[in-house]
Amino acid sequence: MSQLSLKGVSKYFGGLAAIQNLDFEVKEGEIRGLIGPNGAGKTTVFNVITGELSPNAGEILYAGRLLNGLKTHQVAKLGIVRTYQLVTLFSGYSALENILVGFHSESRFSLLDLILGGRRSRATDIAQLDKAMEILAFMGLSAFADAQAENLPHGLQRKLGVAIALAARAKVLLLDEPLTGMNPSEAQDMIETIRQIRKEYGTTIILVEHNLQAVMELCEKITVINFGQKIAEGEPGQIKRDEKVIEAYIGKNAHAT
Amino acid sequence: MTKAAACHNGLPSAYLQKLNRQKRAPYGFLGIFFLLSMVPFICRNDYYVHVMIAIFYTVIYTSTYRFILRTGQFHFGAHAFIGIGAYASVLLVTRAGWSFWAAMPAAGIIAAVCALIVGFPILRLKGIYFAIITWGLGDTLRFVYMRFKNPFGGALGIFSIPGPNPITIPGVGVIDFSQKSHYYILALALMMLTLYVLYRLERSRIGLVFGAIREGDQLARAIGINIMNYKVLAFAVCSGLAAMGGSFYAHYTYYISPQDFTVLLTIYLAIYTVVGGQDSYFGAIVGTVVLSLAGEIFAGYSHYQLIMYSTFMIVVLLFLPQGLVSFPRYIARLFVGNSANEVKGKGNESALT
Amino acid sequence: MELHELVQNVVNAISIGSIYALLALGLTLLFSIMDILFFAHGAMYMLGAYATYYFCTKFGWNYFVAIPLVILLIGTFGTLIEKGLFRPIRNDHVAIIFLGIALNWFLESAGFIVFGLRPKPVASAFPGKLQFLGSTISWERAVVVIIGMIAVFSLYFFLMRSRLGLGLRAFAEDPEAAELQGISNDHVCSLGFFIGCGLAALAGLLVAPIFIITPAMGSHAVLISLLVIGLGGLGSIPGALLSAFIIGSIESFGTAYLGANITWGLIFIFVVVFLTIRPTGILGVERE
Repeated sequence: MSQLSLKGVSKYFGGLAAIQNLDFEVKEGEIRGLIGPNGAGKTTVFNVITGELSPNAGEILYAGRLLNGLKTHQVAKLGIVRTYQLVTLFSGYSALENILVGFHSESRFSLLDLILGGRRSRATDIAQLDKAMEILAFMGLSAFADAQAENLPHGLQRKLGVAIALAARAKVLLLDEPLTGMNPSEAQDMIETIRQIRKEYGTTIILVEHNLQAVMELCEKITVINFGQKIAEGEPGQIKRDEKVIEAYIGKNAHAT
Repeated sequence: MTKAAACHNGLPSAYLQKLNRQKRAPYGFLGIFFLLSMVPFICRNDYYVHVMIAIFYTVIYTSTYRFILRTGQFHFGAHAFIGIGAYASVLLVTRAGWSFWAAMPAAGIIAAVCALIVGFPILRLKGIYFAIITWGLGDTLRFVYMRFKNPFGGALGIFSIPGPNPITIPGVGVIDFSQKSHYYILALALMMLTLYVLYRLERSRIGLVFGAIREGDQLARAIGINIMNYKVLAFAVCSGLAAMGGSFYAHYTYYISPQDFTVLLTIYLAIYTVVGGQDSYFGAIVGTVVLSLAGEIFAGYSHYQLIMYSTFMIVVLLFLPQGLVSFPRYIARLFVGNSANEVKGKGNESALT
Repeated sequence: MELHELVQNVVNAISIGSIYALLALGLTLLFSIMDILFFAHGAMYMLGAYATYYFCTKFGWNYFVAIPLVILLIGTFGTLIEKGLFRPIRNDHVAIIFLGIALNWFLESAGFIVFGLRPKPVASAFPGKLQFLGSTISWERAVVVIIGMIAVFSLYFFLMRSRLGLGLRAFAEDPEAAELQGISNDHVCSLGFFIGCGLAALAGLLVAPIFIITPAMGSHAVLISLLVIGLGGLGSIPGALLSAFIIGSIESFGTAYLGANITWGLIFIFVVVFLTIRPTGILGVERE
């Protein structure tokens, strides 16, 4: 039933628990929000899922398969692809080339063919170009195909980051603060794009985001963590009213002021 | 899927141009081959032909060395694999009675397999560890050659290595390697082959991935690129090609000894690469050609030669970090002003971290 | 193996290990301070040995007068190199490695031209022999060990106790924070080069009377010290000391029983296998 599930996952840094005994399950095609105050361990959850950090305890299952111990690139090959908080792109490449890199695993190339550059290799080039342009069009980036990635405006760089993940055949897309640094219209555009991705590709999406309004608008279900532990889970309406959540956010503010 | 067709009406023109250039490239390489192959028939001075041959096989070494360097590995053992190529090919010919034409590619494959075997454990090591181990590997092999007189000939090396077997090319006649010009054509062909393979590795789809690993290895991993495999691939292919150059060297000079494959050889390659410009495909070629020709002034005085080379390298590192290939741009900038030709400094940070 | 042979080899191992430790200490210190590998380190060692030759054999000075002079001379030379060549490109680590390589081979070739091809002997400062557990040990080797130990301990106390040493360590830990504390980046680098090159020169001083000296000795020393600090863990001083003595022991015993060539193969294989199993070296920590 659930596509991705974490069972009792803990990750310690030194003696400090970044996440502690965390359970959560995501269904295929779901848009899930993962929220919590600063330092709650949200990004650590992503790092643990993608194998960038290995958990100290617990299991991570993807479509019935244990992910523990797999390397990042292996996890990605299975279809779990993430974006980063800070925009990460292949900045010296054009937008189109960024997408093409995402296709790297699709051309089960014969090395000889690739090196000689024969007709078959060229046919693959053209086919990939078509597919890449399709993704760019889908993301509304086709006008920037030849533009160098680092010269794109911030909002488009973020979109390109998501587009690369799509090109890499993400079945589960982990978006780490995709709306950071965006103005309201860019943010609205991004929200729309995320919805479209789910609709068109059936991608499961897990979203870490500080913009709570956007999360409430976008997600069917929200998981709230604080100090590495799950404190609430449910539909946006429920979460808004949940006392623990209010305490976690407001209470912290009350302390701060 | 009509979206695709609708949007890409000639839009990514820059990329399509790149693809077209790739399509035409083989003809370009063939053209250069034929042009250069005329040289020994016009200039019949054996000394010049010899200098050209030396440049050709050195370009094989340097360009492959540069490619490994560009995958972010601080390679310090090029001499190890060139040596493997030379010794393997010579032993296959003299001991096993193989034809040179089978032994040379076999030597390349043997070196590539060695690179694979060594590569998987050691490419995991970061930056300087890789340098230490590849350097150590080269030195160890040298000790092995010296220690075992049979079959490696010990410290004195192996003498009177036969040249390549004569071959008949339809329409051209018999090539029996009795003249320098025959070696010249063979070296040229090997060099052009190597350069073409490297061109494909750098500019084709796989080159895109190599570049991506250099641009950002974290993102590369996150989208499922197995960086290790690509590094091992580059290491093996480049070592194999360099070994074929080593095989040519052995059968061209008729004599090899452990002293031919010391770390000094790798140092030379590093100097050629840096002086030429390691960021550019042509850097290795330019560096090799310029320094080899300049080195001819001091031919026979290797200490003076090294002093000149290392001075060159220091000057380039301090004042022209993009190497000699950026010299025209550098000059242009002096006259046109800064804005016109921005020289980008990139790709240097990967090897150590 | 008889007892006196064993003692002989142990003493050899310790004296070789001391030399390697001095060489590796300078290199690893520079690495931990500035995150750079200084390939011209070996050339400094070579120059130190030649300076000893000139002072002691040519000018006939006392060995103990030569020690501080040579260290001062080569150390100053090192800081000049740092100021003139390394400072402009300090942040480009790859370029710095290449610069070190170029410099090493420049100095080595210059050495061949200036000093000549023929190995130079340096008259022993301590001609006597020492009887110990039935084996004969030359005083020189004992002196190598003693001076080496003194150097290692004074470096240790300098780093741990003195204000300057504290500054160096703070800088190695976190350059930006150290700079905010008023520790000057430039001064630390100069000081680092002075100590690093001075240690190499000291190794050269100690080696000069024992081995024959040639301009090529520097490159070999670079390889050895790289192996040592690689095995010990980059940037770790205790690791470098430990691995210097491990490699010294393998070399001493291996050369005695198996021959020099095989021993080198063994050392290399040992380091490769060890690093493959434990990529951070004996005492190294994973750094990002």
